Order: sequence, then C-alpha cells, then structure tokens
Amino acid sequence: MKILFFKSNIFMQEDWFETLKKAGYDVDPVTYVFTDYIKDDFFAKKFRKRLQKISYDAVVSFNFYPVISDICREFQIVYISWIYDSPIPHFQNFDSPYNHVFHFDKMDVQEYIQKGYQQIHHLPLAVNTERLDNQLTALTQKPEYYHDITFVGNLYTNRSIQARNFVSSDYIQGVLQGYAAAQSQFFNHDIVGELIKKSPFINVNAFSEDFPLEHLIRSVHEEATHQERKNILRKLSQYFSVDLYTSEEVCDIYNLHVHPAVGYYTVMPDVFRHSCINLNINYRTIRSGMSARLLDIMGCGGFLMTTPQPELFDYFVPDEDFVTFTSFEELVDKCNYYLLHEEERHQIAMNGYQKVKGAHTYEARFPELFAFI
Amino acid sequence: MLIVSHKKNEKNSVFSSLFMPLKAAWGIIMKLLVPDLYSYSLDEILSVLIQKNYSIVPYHGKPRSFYYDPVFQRNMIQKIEEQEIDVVFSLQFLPILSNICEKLKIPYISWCYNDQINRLLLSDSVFNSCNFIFHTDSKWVLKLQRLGVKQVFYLPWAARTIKREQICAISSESVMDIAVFDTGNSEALRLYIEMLTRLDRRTRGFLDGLIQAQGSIYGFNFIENVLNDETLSFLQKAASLPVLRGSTADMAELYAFQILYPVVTKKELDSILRNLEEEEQMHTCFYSSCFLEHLKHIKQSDLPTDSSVFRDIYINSKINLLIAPREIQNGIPVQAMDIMGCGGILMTNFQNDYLQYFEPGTDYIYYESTDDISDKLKYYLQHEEKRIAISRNAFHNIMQNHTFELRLEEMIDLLNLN
Repeated sequence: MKILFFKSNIFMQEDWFETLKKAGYDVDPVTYVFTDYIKDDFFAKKFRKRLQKISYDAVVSFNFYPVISDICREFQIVYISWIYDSPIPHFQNFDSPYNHVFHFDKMDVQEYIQKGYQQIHHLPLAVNTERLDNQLTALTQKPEYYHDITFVGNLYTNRSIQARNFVSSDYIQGVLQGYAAAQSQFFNHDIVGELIKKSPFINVNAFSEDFPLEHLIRSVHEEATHQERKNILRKLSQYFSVDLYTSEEVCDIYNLHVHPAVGYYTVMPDVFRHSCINLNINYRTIRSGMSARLLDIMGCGGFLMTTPQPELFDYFVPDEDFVTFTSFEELVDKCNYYLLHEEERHQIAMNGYQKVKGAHTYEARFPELFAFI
Repeated sequence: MLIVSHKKNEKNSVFSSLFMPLKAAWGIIMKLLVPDLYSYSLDEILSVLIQKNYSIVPYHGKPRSFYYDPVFQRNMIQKIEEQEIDVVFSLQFLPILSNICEKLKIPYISWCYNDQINRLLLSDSVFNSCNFIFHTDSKWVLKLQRLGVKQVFYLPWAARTIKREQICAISSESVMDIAVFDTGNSEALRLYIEMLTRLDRRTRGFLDGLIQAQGSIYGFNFIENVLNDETLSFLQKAASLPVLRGSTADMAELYAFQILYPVVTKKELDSILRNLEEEEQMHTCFYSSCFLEHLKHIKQSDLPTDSSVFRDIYINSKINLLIAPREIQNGIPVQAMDIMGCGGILMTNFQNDYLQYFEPGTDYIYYESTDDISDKLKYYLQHEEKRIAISRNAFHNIMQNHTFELRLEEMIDLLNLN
C-alpha cells in the first residue's frame, strides 16, 4: 500500500510516520503549514502535481484539511484523517465519499453521525511505545524520581475570556467567568449551556451565524480549563512541591516551580517517567475522549493522576492503571497517599504502561485506520 | 437544574463510620449546665433530659464575644465549680464554652443546626479534646473530620411531640393553599448590594454569574471553592469582613457563608415569589419580617415568634414551602422537622440528608428548580388524597424515628452516658 503522509506542525506525526514505515507501509512524506485551510492555491498546485506524478492508495494526516479533502476527491483517492482536537478544527467540505475521518472523542463522533456524516469513526489516539522503550530504562526497575508532582501543559491564559476579548462588556466577561468557575466544579456534566440559555444577563437572541451560541459555550469551557488548571496548581503548591513545564509565562508561587516547555520526543518522556505523580487536568472541550497526554503519561510508565474522562474508563481500570480525582480535597488526599506508597504507585504505573503497550500503540490502530482501503 | 445526590451506599459508609461509640466512662452522675444562648426547641430537649434523670442547671447570660469574654468566662467557671457541673451542653458550638470546658477538663456537648453561627465551628476551639460535637448537616461533619476533629457526629434534628388529635384535617379545613417562609438574610443582601457598588464591573459580573450558577445546583455547594486570591482581594477591598480572633475560616469561606450563599437563597426566594405572584388561583401567604411592596396577590404576614403559632400555620396550610438556606449543604433544616412533625406537607429544595430518613413523594416533596415549583404545587393542590397520604406518612415517620426522645437516646448512646 502506497501512502502519502501529510505532515504539518503536529507533534505526534513523527511517531505515526515512523511506525507506518516500520510496519512495512510504503510511505512518502509531504510537509506544509497552511495559513488558509480552506483555500490555498500554492499548496493545491504542488499537491495536485504530486498526485499526478505518483499513484497513491491513500493520503493520511493528523487532523482534517479541507484543501486536501477537495483534491483527494478530485483524484478519487482515499483521504484518512485522524483527529485529536475537539471540536474538529477547520471542519468544512467534509462529506466527500473518499474521506474517512477518525476521531478520538466518541461524543463528537455520535454528534456528527446524527448530523448525517457517515464516514466518521471513533478511534482513540495511540503511543509509540517502541520508541519510548528505547529511550527510557526498563520499567521493571523503579525509576529515580526527580519531582513529586508534575504538570506538563498549558494554562491556556490566551484562551481565557479576558484574553480573547470577543465580548466587549467587562461585566458580561465577568458573568461568563462566573459560569466557567461553576463548570470547573463539575465533571461529565455540562452546566454552561443551560446557564447561558437561562441567563438574565445575556441576550441569547443576539447570537448569529457569525458568532453562534455554541462558540460562546465552547469559550466558557476553555475558560473553565484555564481557571481549573491555574487554581489547582496554585492551591496544590501550598501543600506539595509541584513542577510545571509550560510554554506560558508563569511566576513561581508557593512551592510551584515553573520550567520551560519540553520537547515531546526528547525530554517529556523522562519527565513523565521520573515524576512520582503526573497530573492531568483535562481540556474541558474534550468531552469524553482520551487526550494524547493521558496515553503519553501511561505509555512512558508514568503514574497518572487525572480528572475523570469517560473513555478512560472504557479501556483502563481506575486505581489499577491510573488514579482519578473529582475535587481538590480528593486530589490532596490522593497525592498524600501515593507519595507515601511508592510500591503501589509503581505497580499502577506498570499496569497502565502494560495496557497501553498491549492495545494502544499505532500498530494496534492500523487495521481500523486502513480498513477502507 | 442539577441535583447532586449521594448514592445511598456511599452515604451509609459515611454514616456508619460516624457512629463510633466513645470510650469515655463518666459514671452516672450527670449535672448539665445549659446556657440558653440558642434555644430552638431547648425546652423540649431539657424536658426529655429531665425525664431521663439528668439534672439541668440553666445558665443565663450572654458573652460579649463568642470567642473571648473574661468576665463571662469567670462567672461561668464560678457557676460550674459551685454547682459541681459534670457537663456543659449547648445548642450550637460556641468557642467560649469549649475553652471554658477545656480549662476545667469537663465535657462540652454541642448540638449544631443550620444557622449563620455555624461559622464558629471554623475556630481553633473545635480541636479541644473536651468537645463532643453533634451536627444536623452531614457535610459539616465530614468537613470537621477532614480537619482532624475526632469527636464529631452526624445527628439530625428532631420534631416536637404532638398528639395526633391536635392535627386538623389537612385538606378541607386548611385556610391557605401555600405557606412560604422567609429563610433569607436581609443583612447579607444589604452587604452584598453595598459591596457591588464598590466592585469593578468584571468582578460584579463574576459574582452574579456564580450566584446564578449556584442557584441552579442543589446538593453541592461550590462557591468557596472558586473564590481565588485575586477575587478575594477585590472583595476585601469592597467589603471587609472581620476575621475574629481564633477563627480558622479562610476568606473564601467567610465571604461564601456570610454573604454569597444568603444571596443565593434570597434570589431563589424572590424567583419563587415572582412565580407564585402570577398564580392567582393559588392562595399563598408569605411569612416574613420584611414587607415586600411588589407582592400584590400574595398575602403577607409577620413571621411568628411562638412555636405554637408556627404549628397552626403548618397544619392549616395545604403545602408548606420551605426554601432551605443555601449555607446548608446536606442537612435537613430544623423547620422541616417541625413541619413534618405536625403532619404538615413539606415542599422544599433538595438536600441530600433527607434521603437517609425520608422518602420523596411519600413523606415530603422536593423541587428540582424554581421553574418546576408552580407545576408541582398545582399537582399537589389538586390531589388531596396524595397530600393526606404525605401528611400521615411524614407524621408517622417522625413519631417512630425522629422525636427528641429518640434522638437524645441516640446522642446518649453515642456518648456512653448510660
């Protein structure tokens, strides 16, 4: 099978590419970074030339690109896109018969199917455990720990209501921040939509096609993520030593030690492996799917402590493969416990790793990804 | 809009761990000093204790501060020593009483029910080893246990014993369709309005959004969890709340409990009254110490001061609508027990602790949002047989399981006083 692999600025793409090659697929890369995902004549011209020159069975990419979809339709080539964002970014011209979209969030998939899109399938993300095994020491030995509690990720200050400033009224911004604060206290239940619809402060009729209500609801969820991450890390650092690896500018506070962002392929696996507890605070717009971070932590043999995410419970067992928390008090209690109980913690990390290695590698996903070719 | 209900087996495991008998062996002489600072149903409680052969020594006098008053302290110590008091018993936990007992090394038993004064539980005194704290809200018990308080127990309130014949027929002889009781805190609302005038627009919006959100959620209080340092600094500048010596409450808890939860309650009450004002077929009476000018259809009456007058209202109203103050997270309000104990029909907002002892739809009714109240009220006003059944069930349940006699026996069992 000859595959044209589209690469852009997506951190996981090298793992997918390398595992395809190792599995014996004939894979050619093409690399481009779009500025306009809907219409890009320069790219379209180059891409068409490539497809005219070489006969491919399929084009694959992480995330979905309308320009690629249009051209694949023109050339009658299967286009496989594997989406790790929720909601699907730049989602247009989706309904070509040559498209097969794989999405990591079951709830999103169900919604698109209900809207009439048949060629969308649920598929969790994956981890290249072979690369990680080569990079890291065998997990059978207990690692040396450099950090007690680590969080690798963004606080999404740039996605807060205040930073985005799409609502001009300070008062309404505050109301939405109040809704976000409330939402941050609930898992697996969306209260934002109802709050906005029943709000005595917001005129729901003012929303339009240019700025639909769903967009506002999503933004409030992003604000909830921002508040939740900021507040948890700040409060947690009053009890424990917490290390944050992030690309954002954050000041050290209490016992929160801020480090620059780390490379996905280079340093991040070591950080996960050598932290007693790896904290994950789910991005709120991902309603059910397992983010890459969850699988990365477990695939590196790291101990995962996370806010609950429904699909995690479909594939992994809580307190056996990972640990979850639903309140700050519970987080503190469990951090206290697992920092003291090293054996148990290591066992959980090993269990999670074995499950990822057994069923959540790229190779494990190939049969489904290429079922339509 | 959203009800956060605890699973029964989860709660059972909580409650089973609470009922651990104490090891204290104080013998059988029990002379109780009972300050009357808080006295809701105190007469009935004391009457039961007297029947059980406890000697009651009343104490009158109010300290200048519930934390510290050397004159009060000196006088009480003198009384305790003169009268050879074994135990101090009070309604509500008062740090000054706890400190006195700790000094004299005698037990201090407090039975706490929903009231703003519960904030006194957030004080250093709660860790005194002399304390035996009983609370009607299981959430408070969990909170204190989490803080490290050992001798704290869940004990719901009880109802006054009332003879069945004192209960009139609920239906045809009822004077009023709906009785609504003002459980709001006007002082908190006044503080909130004043505070808003001194806050920036964003923070005002944040509080309004947060209050709206909390108002739509029953069974889970979260306001204090989301007040971060930045917001608190704005609130402190706008309306500084005194932090009393000995208090361990953090600022978020102070603002949540003293101002924001009472505002949530007030807004819920206002929303309900607005709905009821439009229901001209329903005869509603609002019992409050404040007169609301905008209510034209709803009758208004003063909040009684006498418990027997309350009892008449409960019995003579087809439905008693009780909006529990939002500071109560899980607990059954004391007034709810009184209503059911009279055979009154109770309709209230959702609280988790009811589910341990009462069956919704059988013993009482709860509403899920201010939107569904009118429909529920209409339904039960139209179905007299259901109301009669609820009245009988509630009364029977209370008499079988929730009298002061039974409750104090539970307390005594827990305390190993027998």
